[in-house]
Amino acid sequence: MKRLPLTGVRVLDLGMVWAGAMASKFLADLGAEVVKVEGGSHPDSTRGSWPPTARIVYADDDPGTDPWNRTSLYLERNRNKLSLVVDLRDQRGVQVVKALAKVCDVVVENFRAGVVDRLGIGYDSLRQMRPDIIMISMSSQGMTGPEKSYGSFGNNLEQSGGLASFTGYRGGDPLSLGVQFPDPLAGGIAPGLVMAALRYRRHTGKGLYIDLSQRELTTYSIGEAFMDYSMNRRIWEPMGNRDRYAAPQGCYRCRGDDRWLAITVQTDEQWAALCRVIGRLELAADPRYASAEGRQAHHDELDRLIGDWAATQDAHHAMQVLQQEGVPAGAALDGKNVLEDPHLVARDFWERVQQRSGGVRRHMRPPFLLSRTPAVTRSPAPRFGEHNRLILGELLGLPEAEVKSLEAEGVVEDVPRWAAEVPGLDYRPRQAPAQSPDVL
Amino acid sequence: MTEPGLPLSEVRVLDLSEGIAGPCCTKLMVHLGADVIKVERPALGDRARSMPPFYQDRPHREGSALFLYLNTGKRGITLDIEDEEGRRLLAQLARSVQVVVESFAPGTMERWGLGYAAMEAANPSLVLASITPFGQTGPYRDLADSDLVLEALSGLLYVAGSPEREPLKIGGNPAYYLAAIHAFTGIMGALLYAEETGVGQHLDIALVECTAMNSLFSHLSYDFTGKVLPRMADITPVFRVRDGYIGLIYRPEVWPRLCRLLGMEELERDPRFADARTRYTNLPELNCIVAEHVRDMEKADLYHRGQRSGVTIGYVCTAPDLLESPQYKERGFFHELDHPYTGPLTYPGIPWKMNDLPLVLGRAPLLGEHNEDVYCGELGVDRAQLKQLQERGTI
Repeated sequence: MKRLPLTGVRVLDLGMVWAGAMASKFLADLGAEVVKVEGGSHPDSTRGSWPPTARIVYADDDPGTDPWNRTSLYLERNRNKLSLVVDLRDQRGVQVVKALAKVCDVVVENFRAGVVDRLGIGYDSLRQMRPDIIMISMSSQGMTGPEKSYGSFGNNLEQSGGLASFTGYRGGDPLSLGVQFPDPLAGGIAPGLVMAALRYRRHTGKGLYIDLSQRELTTYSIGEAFMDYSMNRRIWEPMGNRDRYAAPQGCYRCRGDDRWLAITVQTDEQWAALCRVIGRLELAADPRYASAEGRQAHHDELDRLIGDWAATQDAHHAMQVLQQEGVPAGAALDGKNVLEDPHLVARDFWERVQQRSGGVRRHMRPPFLLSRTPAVTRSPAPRFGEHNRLILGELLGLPEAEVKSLEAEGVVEDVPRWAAEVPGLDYRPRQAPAQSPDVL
Repeated sequence: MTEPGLPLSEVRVLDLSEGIAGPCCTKLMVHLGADVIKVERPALGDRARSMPPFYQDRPHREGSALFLYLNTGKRGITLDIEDEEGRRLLAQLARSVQVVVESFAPGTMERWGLGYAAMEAANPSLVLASITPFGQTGPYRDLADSDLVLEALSGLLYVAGSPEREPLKIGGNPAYYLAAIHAFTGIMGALLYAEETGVGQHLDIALVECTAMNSLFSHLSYDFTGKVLPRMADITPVFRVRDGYIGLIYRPEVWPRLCRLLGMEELERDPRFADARTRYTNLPELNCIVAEHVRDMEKADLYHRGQRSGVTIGYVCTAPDLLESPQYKERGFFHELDHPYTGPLTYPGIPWKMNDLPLVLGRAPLLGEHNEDVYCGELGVDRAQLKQLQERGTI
């Protein structure tokens, strides 16, 4: 197999849901051997539960006979990994994970602060066994401070990290948009920090414990808003799709059903070009709109004029025409459009992967394209517990009898506990009942 | 100079990038101990220097919030890349570093004779990262961008906001920060590889692809089921309270606790909200009832009481709230940095800790502040030559 940047690095992956699973996915993409550890009673929530909930999407809307192996979010975030299912509430399960940690270079976890310590697999315990271990905790608030035990979802981080305070429709209340921006931020930076720690280990022989605060990271991503307060005591408020300086900027309704076009005018030249494209040359000559300040002051009027024009246009066509004239413009792509977008398709952004269960599905490749060591899907996301025997037997060298006993006693499993607890399901659900959203 | 004993000690980075994404990426490397030499255009500097907001709202090249924030701890030199002598100096510098980061329009570096092939020939283990709106290839590679446009073309904008209204952008510059972070991670991978094998590589980082990391619900829904996902802000409601706003999420596992926290035990018995499905069907009603009920509560009180009873809840923090946050205070997140033009100001700090390593956060360089340091001290240009280069406008 081709050598990749992390070939030879083994990762114990306790990362779940979005940020944690995404972090270890990138490590796997870069060549690491990632062992994803879940519990029979604590599967990654992206595998769904029963009854299925709205945010959980099954391939072809069909839960099949193994719904936990067919969900979109799970399959997307867990390619190139191995799956071990072991019960961490059982001491024997904890022993297995400790033995695994001993042969791993990196541990990734995103439980609430304190959970891994209670389980006996915190950094201090692991360091006793393996002094050069690298561990990253991706908690909500960081591992210290009065709020360290507080939990959050991405929307709560948008709020307590400061981002939501100036996100929202103009003149309206702050909003969380439902897209959970802080998650990919944390999932994106964590593997970079782990690799920096690997370099540190290479040069010093020492391990490191990385305490990443997702809330602080959210604030890090709004530095200029905070600096404006620091410098000018200005507190940012929601301003819809407008920019604080460039004008006009907006998202305008186009022809068709729920079609939209984003436009930004950053310079006076772009303003003149926009006027040409919308056939309103007189606006370009109007002194009221000659500067960004003037256009900002008359933004409502300009929105009406641009909106009238946009309403008659096809969003994609209008985008091309504006871009040809140098005006930043983009159609708001929906889920179908983005998969068919000629640019992303030409750049091989979507990789078709045959799944274990669920047919062929499209994955995003990592957004860093490395010329000599491109990341590809070496294996699709594993079935629940697919590599139990490989890891227990071959990697950890447990005798067959012990593996069988762990399986028999339910410490090691290959079906989520909930599946056994649904009456009549017999691990073989066919029909999904009516969906309910997991966020409610 | 690199800081000893840090993860990126002995790593030299030549940063030719401008704006937000590239500079933020190299700022992350500074925290970890890298020596980042930032190259700016003579007189004008990085275009972030002319982007508002400014210190005391007065446009000044040393007073831009973005520039000061994104370039902490770097050394700054000036150099005219359009000039042949400038390019010669740049090529010389590029031989002395492990990483080059650039954000010019695709094809520009090649036109200057500074493309990856040329740089690699002189420095085979070099990692060159090109960070551009749409990447080095593809039909959109020359298109113009803004944060809003990137959110639109990545699929993020369409699903963000209220279903009854227009798509709504995330505040600030989220597309650029997402790109900074993914570029950083890609560079770390390439750097480990280069140090181990002696072989460098070229990274093509497209902002639009980085932004797409945040819109996966949308394409996954269509790819898995053929359904176009609508906008969904309603499921993460934010409510006005007496002194600000709080954000809730009605997770089934905390529903009874949430009802008790809000003092609305009657909701638990209300058949309209009996389970996750009915709560979803009756979401607008539920949100109205909660909005009315919490109006006179206090944000921080509700946040702390909620979290202590196991309810995930957020309060909407403004900049002064963040500054006053007991959590941020105890972790020492904010830092005061002195600067010759602005004097001391409070900056957001580093969002992670690594044991007790002294991660780096210094002030941003003045335009050309380290010219003598770098050109005379490291490239062997003598003072008379430097003066000449300055007079010619190369530096």
